[in-house]
Order: sequence, then C-alpha cells, then structure tokens
Amino acid sequence: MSKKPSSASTAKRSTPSSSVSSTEREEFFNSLADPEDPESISIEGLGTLCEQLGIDASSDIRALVLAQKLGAGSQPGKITRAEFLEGTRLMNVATVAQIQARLPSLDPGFMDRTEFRDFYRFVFQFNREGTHKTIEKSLIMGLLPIVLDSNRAPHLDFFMQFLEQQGELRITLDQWESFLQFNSAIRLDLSNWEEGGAWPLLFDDYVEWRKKNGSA
Amino acid sequence: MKDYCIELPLFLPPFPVPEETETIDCPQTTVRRKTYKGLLSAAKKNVQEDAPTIEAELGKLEKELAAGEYHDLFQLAQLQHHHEHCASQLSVRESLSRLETALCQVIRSHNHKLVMLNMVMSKHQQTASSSSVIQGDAFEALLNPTFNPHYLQAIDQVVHNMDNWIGSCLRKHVPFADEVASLEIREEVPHMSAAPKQTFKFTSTIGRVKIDANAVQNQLRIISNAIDTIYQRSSSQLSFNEIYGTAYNLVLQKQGDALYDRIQETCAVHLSHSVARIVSTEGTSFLQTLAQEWTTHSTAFESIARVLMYMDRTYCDQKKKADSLTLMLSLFRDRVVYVPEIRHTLRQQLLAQILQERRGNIIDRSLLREVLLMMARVSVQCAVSVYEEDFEQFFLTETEQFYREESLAFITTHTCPEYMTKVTRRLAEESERLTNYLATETEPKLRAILEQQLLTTHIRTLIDMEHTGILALYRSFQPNIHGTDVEVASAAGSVSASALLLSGSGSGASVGGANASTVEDLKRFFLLFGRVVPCFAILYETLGKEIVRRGQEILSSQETARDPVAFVKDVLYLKDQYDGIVQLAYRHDKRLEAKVKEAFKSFINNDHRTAAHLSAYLDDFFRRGMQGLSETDINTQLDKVIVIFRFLSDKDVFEDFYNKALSKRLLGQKTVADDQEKLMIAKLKNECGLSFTTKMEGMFMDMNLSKAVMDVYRASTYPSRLGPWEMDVQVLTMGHWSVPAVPCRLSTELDVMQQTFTEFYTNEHSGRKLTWCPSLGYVEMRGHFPLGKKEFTVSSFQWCILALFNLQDTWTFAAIHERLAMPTLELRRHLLSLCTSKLPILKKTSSGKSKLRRIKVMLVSEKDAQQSLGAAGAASGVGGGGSGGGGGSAGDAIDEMGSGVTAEGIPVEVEDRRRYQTEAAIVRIMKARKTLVHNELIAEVMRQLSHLFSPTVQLIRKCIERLIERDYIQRDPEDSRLYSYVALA
Repeated sequence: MSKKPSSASTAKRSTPSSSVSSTEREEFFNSLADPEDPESISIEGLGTLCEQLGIDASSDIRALVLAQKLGAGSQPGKITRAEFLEGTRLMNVATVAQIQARLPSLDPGFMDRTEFRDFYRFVFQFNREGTHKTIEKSLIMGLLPIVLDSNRAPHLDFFMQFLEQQGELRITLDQWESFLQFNSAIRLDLSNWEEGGAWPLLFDDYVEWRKKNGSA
Repeated sequence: MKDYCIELPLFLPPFPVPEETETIDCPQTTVRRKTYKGLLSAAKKNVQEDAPTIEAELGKLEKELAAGEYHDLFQLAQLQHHHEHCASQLSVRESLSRLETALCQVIRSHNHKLVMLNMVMSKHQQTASSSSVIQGDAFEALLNPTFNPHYLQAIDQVVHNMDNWIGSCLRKHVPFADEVASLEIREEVPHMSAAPKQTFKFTSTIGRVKIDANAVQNQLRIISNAIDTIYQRSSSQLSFNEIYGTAYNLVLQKQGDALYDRIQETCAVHLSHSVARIVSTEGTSFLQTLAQEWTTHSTAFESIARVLMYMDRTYCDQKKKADSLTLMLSLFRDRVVYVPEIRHTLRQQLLAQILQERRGNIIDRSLLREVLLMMARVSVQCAVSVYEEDFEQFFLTETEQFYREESLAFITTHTCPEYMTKVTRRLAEESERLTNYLATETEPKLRAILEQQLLTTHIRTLIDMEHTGILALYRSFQPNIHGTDVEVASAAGSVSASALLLSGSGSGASVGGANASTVEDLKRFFLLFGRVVPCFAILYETLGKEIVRRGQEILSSQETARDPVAFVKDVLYLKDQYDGIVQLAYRHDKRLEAKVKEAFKSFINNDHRTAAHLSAYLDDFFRRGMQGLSETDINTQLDKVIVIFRFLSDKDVFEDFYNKALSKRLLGQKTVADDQEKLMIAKLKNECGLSFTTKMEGMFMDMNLSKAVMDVYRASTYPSRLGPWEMDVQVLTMGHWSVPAVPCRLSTELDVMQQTFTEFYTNEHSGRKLTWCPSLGYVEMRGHFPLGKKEFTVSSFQWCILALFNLQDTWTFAAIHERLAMPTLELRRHLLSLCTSKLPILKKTSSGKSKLRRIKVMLVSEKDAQQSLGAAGAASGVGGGGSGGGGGSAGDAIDEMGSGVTAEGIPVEVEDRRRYQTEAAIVRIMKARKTLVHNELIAEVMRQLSHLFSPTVQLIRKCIERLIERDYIQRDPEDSRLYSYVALA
C-alpha cells in the first residue's frame, strides 16, 4: 500500500519548533531494526517497541495504529527504513518517550470515516503473510474484535459466530472491506437487505445463516 | 263573427313590434316587404356560394308552388332555407323576381294555398330575423330606387293580387273568410320613388285579440272529430286545410293548452277501446291483436301529428312540451302497454315465443319483430326504454338460465366436438335472432351472456375432457411431415373462417384422414373461443402448459432418458405437432406461435441433458440416420434440429458435446459425411457466430493436414521399420480437440510405432511436440480361436490387454492393472467389453458380484500381423485409426460421456469455460465503460453471453469478486455498488 498521508491533525502537531533531527530518527530506527534485515523493522521489532510503551501488541488496537503512523504499508508485517523515517518525521518523534506522550492520540476513536476506512484497509494489508492476498479465517477472527467494536460494526458478534461455523475459509480484501461497508449499510435486523445486490457472496451466506438461525 | 280579429301567419313575430299600436299600416306592403326581405337577406348572407344550386332550388320551388303540392312545398321551403345561405347577389334579384311571378300566379289561381305560402315565407322570416343588420340592409335594398324596376312592378303585382284574393275571399265563404276579413286593407303603397332614402316605418297588424269561448269550443270539436275520423280510417273525407287551419287558429288564439288537452283526451278514448280489445284476446293471438292495434294507432298518430304541425312548432316549442307525436306515443305506452295485464302478458308471450323457437318450433318472427319495434318506438321521453325494461332484461335473464342449464346438461353427456358443434349451431341461431327481431343494442349484451354461459364457463371442462377434449385432440393431431400441404390447407381454412361472426365454421380444406376431423374440431374450438378474451387467455395458458407437460413426459420417460435419438425425435415430433396445430387450426395466431416457442424453451432448458441429447442425436444422424435421405431431406432435418438448438440456453454445453462427438466421428470413422457435417457447421455458425465453430472448423482442417502428413510418412523409409504393422496417425492441433488423456503403459508393438512416428514427425517439423492419445486409437487384429480365425477391431487399450494374453493364458485383474498402469475404472470398462456373453473373447472365472477378479483365457487369442495403431495426441498430438477389415463390436461399450459433470449436469470443462467467458465479458465491459453500477454490469454481462449460455447472477458475482481480488476492477470506496476498471500501470 502506498503511504498514507497522515491526518491533518497529526500534521499540525508535528510543526512545533522542537522538531527532531533526522539523525535521531535514524538512530531510533536502528535500535528497532531486524537484526537479520537491518533495512526494516519486523513484527518483533514492533513488539519490542510496544512492550517499551507498555501496550499489548496482540490485543491493543493502538499497536496497529502506531504501525500505520510509523509508515508501515508497502509490505505486510514490516516497516522499511524510508517509511519509518518519513513516518517519524511526520509524527515528529524519535524516542519511546515521545511516542509515549502521543499514545492517547492513537486511539482510532479520533478517526473520521475516511481515516478509519484507510486504517481498516491497512490492518488487512499489514497482516497478510508474504505474497498471500488473502488472510485465513482464524487470523481474521482475531483481528476483527480488535479493530471493530459494536459501535462501528453492529453485525460484529453475529458475523464472528457465522465465521466460527464456516469451514476452511480465506478472506479477501474485498470481503474485509465490504464488511465495514456492510455494517453501515445493512441494518442489524437485515430489514433492508436485498437479494442479488453488489455484496460479495460471503454476505449472502451470512444473511442466510442469520435467517436460518432465527437471529434476523 | 267580426268581433275578433287575427292576423295571417305571415305577421307572426319575430319582429319586435309594439303590440299596442293601433295604427294599422299598409298590411300588404308589410307582407311583401317582410317576405322579400327575408328571402333577400338570407340570400345575401353568403354571396360567394353556389348560385346555380339556388337557381335550381328556386326553379323547383316555382314549380311546386304552381302545382300546389303544399306538403312537399313546406319541406322544400325548409330545404331552401338551408340553401339560402349560398345565394349570390345577382341570383337573389333574379330569384326574387321569379318567385314573385310564381307567387302571383299561385295567389291568383289557388287562394287556399296561401296558408302554405305563408309558411314558406315565415320560414324565410325566421331566418332573416336572426340579424337586424341584415334586416336593415334588406329594407334598404327594397326601397332603393335603383333596384330593378321590374322587381318593383312585381311587388305591385303581388299587392294587387293579394287585394283581389282577399276580396274574393270576402265574397265567398271560404274557410278562411273570417280571418281574412279581419285584415284591414289599405291601398297605401309608400312613395318609394319620391323619397327613396326615407326611413321606413311600419307597424304590426296585431290588434286586440278577443276570444270567443264558443268559437274555441267549436274549433276544438272540429279537431276531436277529425281525430275520430282519422281513426275510422276515413281521413280522405277530411279537408286537411280546414283542420290544419283550425289547429293553427287555436294556437294563435292562445288556446294551445286547450288544444293539447283535447288531443290527449280524444286519443285516450281510442286507446281505451284498444285496451279492451287486447285484454279480451287470450293466448297466442294476444301478440297479434296488440300488433294490429299498434298499427292502427301508429298510422293515426302520424296523420294527426301532420295536422298539428303548427302546434308542434310554436306552442310545444315555447312551452317546452312534448310535440304531438311524442305525446301520443307516450299515451300509447302509458295507457296500453303499461296496463298491468297487458304488460305482464306481453312479457310472458314474448319470452314464451322465443323459448318455443329455441326448442326448435316455428314462430311468427315478423310478429315478434313488430311488437319489439313497437316497444322501442314508444320509448319516448323515458330514461330506460320500454324494450329494455319490459323485454330485454327478462330476455337476457331467461337466455342466461336457458343456456346455463342446457350447456351443463349437454356437456356432461356429450363429447367435446359434439358440444362445440352444438354451440356453433346455437350461436348461429342467436345471431339469426338478432337480425330477425332483436334490437341491435341487444347484441353486445346477448353476446356477453352467450360467451359466458356457452364458452367461458365450460372451456376448462372442454380442454380437459377425457378422450375427446382439446388436450386429447392435441395429442391425436398428426403433424404433416411434408410441410407443403400445410400451407395450402391453412390458407383455405382462414378464408372459410373469416366470414363468420358468432357462428361456427364452414368446413375448411380437408387435411386427410382422421386428422381432418381433429383439425376441424380444433379449428372450431379456436373460432369459438379464440375471440373471447378470457377464453383466449385460458387457451393460451393451457397450450403452453400442455407443451411443457408433454416435454416433461419426454424428458422423464425411461426410454428417452437413455436414448437421445428417441428424445430428439420425440421433441421434433412434438414441435411439428404444435406448429401444425397453430398453423392449421389456430390460423397462425402470432401470440400462440410465440407461446409455443416459449413453452419449448422452458422445458428444454429445464433439463441439462437436452444439450447432450441434441448432440448425441446429431451424432447418430451423421453416423446412421441420414443414410438414404435426399439432400433436401437432410437439410430440413438439420433445420429442425437448429430450431431446437435455438431454444437451448446452454449452447456452450452443446458445443462441448458436439465437439467431442465430432472428434470421435472424425477420428473413429472410416468415412465421414464431409458435406453434411460442414452444412451443419455452417448452420451453427449462422446461429451463433464465427467463434462458436472455430474449433469444429479446425478439426476438419487437421484432418486434411493429417492426410498430407501421412502421405509424406508413407513415402518415407520409416514404415519399413515396423515390419508387418501398418500405422495410421492423425496429427491434431491442441485446443481444437477435446481428448481425454488416459495414462497407459502401451504394449511393445505400439510403443515402437509411437517412437517411429515421433522421430519422423520431429524430423519434418522441428520444434513441435507430440503428445500421444492412445485412448482414441483402435487396432485391427486377427484372433486365433479354437473354432477358427476371427478378425476384429478393438481399442488400443483393449489391444494392450489382449497382447498380455500372448504372454500367458490367465491374468488376474490386479496383474493386468499393474502391467498397464491405467485407471481402474477405465481398465474395468475395457475388460468388460471383452467379456460380454455375446462376444466372449476373454472369459472371466470369478463368480458372483466380485466382478473381474480373475480372468482366464477360454479361447486362446493368438494374434498376428495386420495391426494398426491408434493414437491421438494433443499439442500436435496424434490419433490413429486402422485400415479396412470387418470386425467385432468390442469397442462399442466405450462410449463414455465426458469425465466429470457438475451438480446441474454441466460438464466441468464447460463450467470452467463459462467462468473464463464471464470474466472476460466483465473485463471487456468494464474496460469500455470504466465505471459501472452493479446491476447494469450484471445485465450487460447476461446480454453479452446470452448467445452462448445464460449465466446465473451468482456466477457473475463470483467472477466479479475474483476480478476484484486480482485487481482488474475495484469497488468505489464511497459506493460499494459501483465498480471501476483498474487500468494496468
């Protein structure tokens, strides 16, 4: 994925006079870089960072938001040197303490619809494995509750149950993105669902499952 | 006698004349001025119009005047009144003078006709009065000295004559003497020549009108006496003038009310006599009496009305009362027809008569007609006519009940054709009834009832009736296989049918044999029911349903499920049958033709085997079926198949099967009906476009190329390496042929042949790769059996099996399987056909159900030379076929139907190809449109693919998802229903 232009609010905050120098940021990168591939930070590196920040990388959504802000996007599970330098420049951070100070702003609750959609898409791309274009069901089921809540996705609980009962399944980006749209377009009671619409077929199955289970 | 005065009718209003003016001024002048003025002004109104007509009209008027035919004269005056609009200036002068002369003559000779003249003139007057401007003009014209002197002379003459006439009237005691005498005549012609421009002043002659009660009574008596006389049919004794005049005077004396009442009374008396006479007649002659009385009265009414014309026009008009004829007709109605006894009996008698006729008895139709006409005639001034109220509604109810009962009784005891004949006759009778004595308004109502009771109510019963119903007729209909007679017959049929309204059919052209009656019956059915909207709807629906039902029968029948030839033959027969029915019996009805098509489409696409069956049928046709048929017959037969093909929505499935069958025909047969095959391909190309037949054409091309390759091969030294073995190889282009690749370890002989040819071919065409397909090849061999030598043809695989038995006599299944390394199923199949009880080449020793456990050679199979190798290939593969020789039929059982088949019965390859085609269509569309809404995209894809198959929405959506995944298209971030094309970076 191409680099996300950071939101306007972040850009503003990075303008203050006390800007960090590029050397500081380089050093920061080096401290986190993957020993086997010094040109990028791996998931492990990010995990270390999160530990230092005191957040749980496996369940705290801020870990993912941070990854996006730090510039991740072009490759799954990785931040390259160039991406990181640009990301930290925009965030104007070069130490763990500086990020720590920013932690509260990383909550996706601050994101507007478009920002969140970009972030949501980023989550999928970032969690892909290597060249795979799809993500297997179990990982999706781990990600969904972290990224979404019943506020943004009323269908979340039902959908999780539905996925639970499906067999082997890999989720495509289209299905992933459509789920977010589906939540804002289709009422929880499915009263405005129409057959043969433009939704991926997975949602036909979901609706059918809901109806069969009497939960609609 | 002299103490009241009246005026002549010519001085009637409309002139706005002060009534009280005592001065009586120059009546004659007024007379003539008003008269002329009227004529003139009316004539002036429209100068540009046809003068000659007027001339002619005036000439006629002159003559009439002279002849004294005043009745007609009055009509003529009216007529002329219309024509006056188109007189020209010139001809007005002319005509006036001529009229003048005529008038003079008339006045001179026939004094008593003055009344009529007055009428004529007053008519003009009315016209003139419509415009005061015109009046002024008219007067000026009259007074203008430059006016034709001859004309003035004529005026004088009239006045003079009038004087004479009045004088003579006074002297004699002519009927009008009284009135005429009251006119004061003064010879006071205005000095027109002296003061031409002076305003002309005049006053009316209307003076005080005093009424003598006695005189009125007398006059009323005259009228009532006259009516009596008319009723006695001795009106010739009466003087029309006198009576007319009397009535006229009465009205003038403002005695209109009295006159009106008197007429009413007098007529009532006569009517009451009638009632007595009618009531006293019993039974059937009742209607006759009534009709007679009506004739008497209606004749009288007309005469009376004629006399009272003046009253009608003035008194009734002004008082808004019904004119005399209307009055009398309504009297007849109220005092005769509506007398309760009469009213009741009348209704009963009428209905009884009609019932009689319906039961087949002869009745007096003209009497009925007369009475019914009377009922219509007396329906004056009432909202619902007597005909409707007292006859029609009862008649219709009666009719409804009669036919409800009759049709119900009839249909339960008779066959469908009998019923239709009966109905046809009944409808004809009712139609006759309509023309004979019913009013035309009754037609739609009667027709509705008849259609309801005779047709709509029973159509379903008729259709479903066992053995003889319409559905049974459909089934028994035999299509005419040779299409030519059909056209002739149907043309004749439509001619005979077109002339009919409600009635049944004249017989059309006979079609021959038992079929003719079927066609006749169906024709009658359509003729009767086809024009009734609800019936047609049922006919339309049942036709479709029946076809679908028959189609399902064919599809589900055991026989046709296994035998595609029988299936297609049955479908073709069905098609011929219903085409024939629609053509012959249903007059090529476009809607029905469309319905037949629709029905065929529906049942054919209900079952995915159809495509396979159709291709199998063609396969059989090309192999065997067409033998002995002429070119034209083959062509028509193929055309029929194309018709079914057209109904097919899974055209690609057909293509797949057809290609497979074609490749087998091409590879497996010694002789191929090239021309006919190509004809079929041309037809398919015509239907589905170039791309549909690319592969088929490619196959033919390969066959030709193979021949050339084999020629080169035979000319080379390679064949000599193979010793006694001969080989025939076919090199096929990959992709055009769908050939299954079945792995098998070939016998040594075959292996050597393969290698030899491969060597030859790669030498000839370097860089090409040969893939061998031995599954399509066959071997001709000779077996040495204890009972003698046999030559037969086996598949290459079977040959490989048999070759094993050259090594040792018994082989277990497992051992064969191991040696040949081919799939178990395949092996089993080949083995099975070698062990049939009919041609036991091998014998199996295992018993029971555990088939083919062990195989023992019963009759040793020794083979020798004359073998040929079959091998077919892909990627420039090779298929082989042997040469000549008789043979067994060992290979027959190997007639597999493709490898895998999906749940819907669509071969896997076809399913895959459909996915590619759908995806390709989506990409093509998106590339052209850039962005497109979901539904439009779906619709467009369906449209583009419809000539090959009908993709499901599911399939299209799946393809869309796959394309999104592969970044060909993407969803709009804002609207998930909108797709956009992703241009390649």
